[in-house]
Amino acid sequence: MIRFVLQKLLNKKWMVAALLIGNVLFFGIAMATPMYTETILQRSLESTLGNYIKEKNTYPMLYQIRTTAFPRDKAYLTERTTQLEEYADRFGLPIRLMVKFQYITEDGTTTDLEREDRKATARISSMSDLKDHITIVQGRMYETEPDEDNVIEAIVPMKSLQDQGMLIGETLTMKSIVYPDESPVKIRIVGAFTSSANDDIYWVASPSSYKTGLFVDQDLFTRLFAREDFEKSISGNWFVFYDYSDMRVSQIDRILEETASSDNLFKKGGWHTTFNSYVNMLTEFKASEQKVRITFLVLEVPVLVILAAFIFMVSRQMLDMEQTEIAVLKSRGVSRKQLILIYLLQSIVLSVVALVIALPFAYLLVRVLSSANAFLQFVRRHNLKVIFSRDSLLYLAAAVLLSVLTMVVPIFRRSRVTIVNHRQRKNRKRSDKPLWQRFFADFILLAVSGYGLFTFYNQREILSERVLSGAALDPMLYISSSLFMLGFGLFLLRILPLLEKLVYRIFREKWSPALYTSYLRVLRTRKSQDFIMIFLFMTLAIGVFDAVAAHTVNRNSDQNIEYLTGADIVMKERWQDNSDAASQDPSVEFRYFEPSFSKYQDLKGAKSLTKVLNTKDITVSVDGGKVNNVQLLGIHTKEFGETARFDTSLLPEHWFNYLNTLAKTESSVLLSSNFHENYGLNIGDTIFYRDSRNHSARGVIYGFVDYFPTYAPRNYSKGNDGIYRETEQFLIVANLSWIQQNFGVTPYEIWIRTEGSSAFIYDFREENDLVLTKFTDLSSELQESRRGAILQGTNGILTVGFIVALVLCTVGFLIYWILSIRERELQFGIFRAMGMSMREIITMLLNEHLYISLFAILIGVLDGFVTSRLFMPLIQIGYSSADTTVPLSVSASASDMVRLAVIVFLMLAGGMTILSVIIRRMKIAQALKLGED
Amino acid sequence: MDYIMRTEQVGRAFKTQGDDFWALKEISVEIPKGKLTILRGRSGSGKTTLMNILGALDQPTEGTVYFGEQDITKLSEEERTMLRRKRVGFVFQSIALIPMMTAYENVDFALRMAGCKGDRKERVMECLHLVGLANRADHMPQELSGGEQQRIAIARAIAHRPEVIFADEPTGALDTMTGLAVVKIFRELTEKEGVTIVMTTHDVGLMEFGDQVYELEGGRLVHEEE
Repeated sequence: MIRFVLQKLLNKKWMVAALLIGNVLFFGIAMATPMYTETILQRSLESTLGNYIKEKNTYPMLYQIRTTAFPRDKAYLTERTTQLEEYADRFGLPIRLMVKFQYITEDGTTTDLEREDRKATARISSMSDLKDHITIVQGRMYETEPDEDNVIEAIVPMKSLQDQGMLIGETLTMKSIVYPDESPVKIRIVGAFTSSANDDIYWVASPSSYKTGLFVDQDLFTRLFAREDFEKSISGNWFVFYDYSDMRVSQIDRILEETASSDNLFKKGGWHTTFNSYVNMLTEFKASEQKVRITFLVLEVPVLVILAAFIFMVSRQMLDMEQTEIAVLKSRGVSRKQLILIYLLQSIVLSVVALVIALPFAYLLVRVLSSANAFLQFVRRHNLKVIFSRDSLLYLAAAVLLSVLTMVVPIFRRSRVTIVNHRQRKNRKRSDKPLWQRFFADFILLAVSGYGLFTFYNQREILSERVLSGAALDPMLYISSSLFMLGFGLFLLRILPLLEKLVYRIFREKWSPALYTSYLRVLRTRKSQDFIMIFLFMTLAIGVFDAVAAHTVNRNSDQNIEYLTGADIVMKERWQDNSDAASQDPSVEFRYFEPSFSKYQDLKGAKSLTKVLNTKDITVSVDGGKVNNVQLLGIHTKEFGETARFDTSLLPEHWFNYLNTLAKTESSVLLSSNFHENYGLNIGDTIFYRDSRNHSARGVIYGFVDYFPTYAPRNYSKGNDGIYRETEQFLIVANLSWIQQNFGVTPYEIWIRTEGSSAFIYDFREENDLVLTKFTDLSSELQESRRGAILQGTNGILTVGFIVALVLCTVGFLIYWILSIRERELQFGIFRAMGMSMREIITMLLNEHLYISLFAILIGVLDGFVTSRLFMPLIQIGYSSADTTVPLSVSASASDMVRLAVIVFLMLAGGMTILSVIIRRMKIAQALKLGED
Repeated sequence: MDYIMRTEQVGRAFKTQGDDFWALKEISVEIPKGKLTILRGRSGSGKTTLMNILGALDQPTEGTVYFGEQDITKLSEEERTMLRRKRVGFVFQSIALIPMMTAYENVDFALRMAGCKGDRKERVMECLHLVGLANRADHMPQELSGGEQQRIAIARAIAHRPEVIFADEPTGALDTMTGLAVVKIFRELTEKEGVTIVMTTHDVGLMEFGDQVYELEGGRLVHEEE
């Protein structure tokens, strides 16, 4: 039977090839989705951990326990150390370093310094493996045993020498800290140290913060002081540094669980406090992980559905071709069971072959996808790890099962047919209208999705609040959009024949026989074109939708970053002031020392630059009270206009008009519109605003704005209950010179517009040894944002969706046409016999093409655009963040559309070429004979 | 007798894996004008091949074919297309109507093909009357019986007043009675309209209707009678 099946497959290479393509894509994508999700999440985890060090300057995976043990508990100190060591292993991460820091809790006071007048406090301490992490700067390392006078040797941080006035070689007698025999502990300082490397994680706190510490050998410390007869209590700090370089997303749950259970255990055991740097970070990551998973899955579903539809279409087509064969087999006594078995076997053979190709394909896909930077844009990324997740196998198995079912199910119905009713069926008059038209599926789908759209529009606020608190967007929204896409496309398909009929009425007498025939065919065989048209338009609509979605999401994210940053480069130097002097002598007036601005004058690489005062601690008096924390922008209008990045469509007039108005009078101000809305201020009114040091300035209102570079009208912040809430932000824009007259010279930012690259600023920073308190490089911010898991994954998945759409479109299109020609060979023979030339037959096909493929494509493109216009404003809420400010707009990229058009054109042209080759090779005489069945 | 077509030493070889297979060899026939000529033979005897060559659907490997005084083997593909369009008509064994056109449109289509301008309606109805199916003009082919379909095919073949009509086993797919009716239509056409008809058949019972009968066997002419 297997041989029979193989033979059967070989005979239908075209269909088999198409089925294989469909199955490979189906399996590959089903399998790649979880792999890709894991890979993206992993990379996101790595960058989260990396950023943690950068932002907080703390080791991200540090578990810390602090305790104090009283004399009677000394034994337990050791016990717990062992326990901790055992426990530390449970996290499943290798331990990079474990540091044990112990000290006598009570500071000892010593009087016998060389100079009697100075008192010093000292804490006898010990740290494990100290010698490996220090450099002795003065003196030498301690001995590990006390000398004959029972003096213990110790070393101190360099800083202690200066701050405590300690000297090398000095022996300190600790007054209150005594051995069991009442003799005081004596310590001799033999050396001073600094840390051996700057970035040594060992020093959670730098050596200089232990300025009272007298460090002695740890074993010696344990032996002498961690005993029950020693009266003072001992404190201990344990630091466990986990090596996170190979940390996996899948380990997070276990780490969080084990951390919680360790915390419990140690707290119950009387250990005082545990600290960890990572629980918050990892919990937040978990929340975003959930969001990423749902979003990715939801984005992938339409692609998988269309792939399944493709497989279904092809296998149904194949069955149609085999209908006679099946009927013959049946009439020769092949049972229904055997028939089903044959098809089951066939689909299994196909699936296995597809599976073999799909495995490496999925791997490749993940690699390619992971290097997707934006929609259809790829960058080289090194060290890409592709993670094979268990879910992949699950998805794959489901896909295989579904595919086999899709291929086998149609046979169940058809296997009942015998040769007799096959003939009958063939001759039966077909109903004109497809099933969906008779059941008004298009209207039903439109109604359902329209209701969804309406409901979601009304819930916009709730939707975005939910997204901000970490939830993924409601999958129902995506489903509504897909339903709408189908419904709207079907609706267009319904009205298309009306147009065609009209054209036919007008032209039927004027057309050449070829045009006339093709028109008749388009009009009268509607039902057989239906599936291919639905398939084509859905594929294209998904392609267009994906392209628009990706572009919209990326562009809005970019625009928001651009708006909030304000310019290509925004930086602020550290300003010196006389606060020290002013705090000691109230008569001295506080002032800043302005760093030289002249060095910026001919900055190469900068097109323009300007000073911008940007502060948020302004208070404005209004009717019935004060508005605090108002943002103030002090600008030089002309330079600001040349330098800042601003999308002028955000304001009703060109924003230069606002700047010009502002420039007219020194004291004029622009206010955020909410001053007008909330406090009834109007143009021409005068306001007074004061800074944190109570300087006051007068401002005459010349205009109101909703948007201005860096101004976010609403801030979202997380409340104590973890829910995001909106707070309103107010803005004053004033002339910088006026502010400086009234407030004195205040630290300002430098905004720069580059000539294209921001590279020069890094050299400039180095050359001038700038100390910056703020530095934002817009181009690197934009790049950084693209690395976020959601944005990156969305781009990758939408790219795949788009490519799959095009591949399927091409293959589906070719199959349909090849089949439609094969089916009609006899007809072409008749046409040729009746004297139709080759050229006319090709014209005829071309024309059919136009009406079937081209209209399907046009419907698809229109459908895709309409759907994205309607749904993207909602869907992109899923991509907004707490700092989303700029109103979101739906946009398509011209280059994507050109790409789409080129590919569609190539597809049509390629299809046409293949078709004409097939037709040309067809012999009329043979074609006519084919009819003699 | 006046001949409209004749062949001289026509042969047709098909490429096969080994030697060429000669489907026709040294055939010289003459087709009388306004008469019904029958090419007779078993299946595989070469009668359809000969007819395809006569109808300019196929090219002979050797020999010449004259249509009137014109050697049609020398014509270009384009010219042969035009010849088929204007001067000949075909009726096939398999009922070869265009499935998406009504009976009326099928006949009308032949007129469109031949480039008839002006009022075609009258001619279409006339042809449908000739085959006795004027009342089924608006039916789709699937709605007609086999014999009816074949009669429509004949109406289509004669619509543009071709000089010769070729009918390849026109009765092959029909039962004896219907087949007989079809051949009777052919007779009437030759007698009333003066159309030249060439028909192939393996049915000995139909021989008597022919004005001229050629019998083929294994690609060679074996018998000829008037």
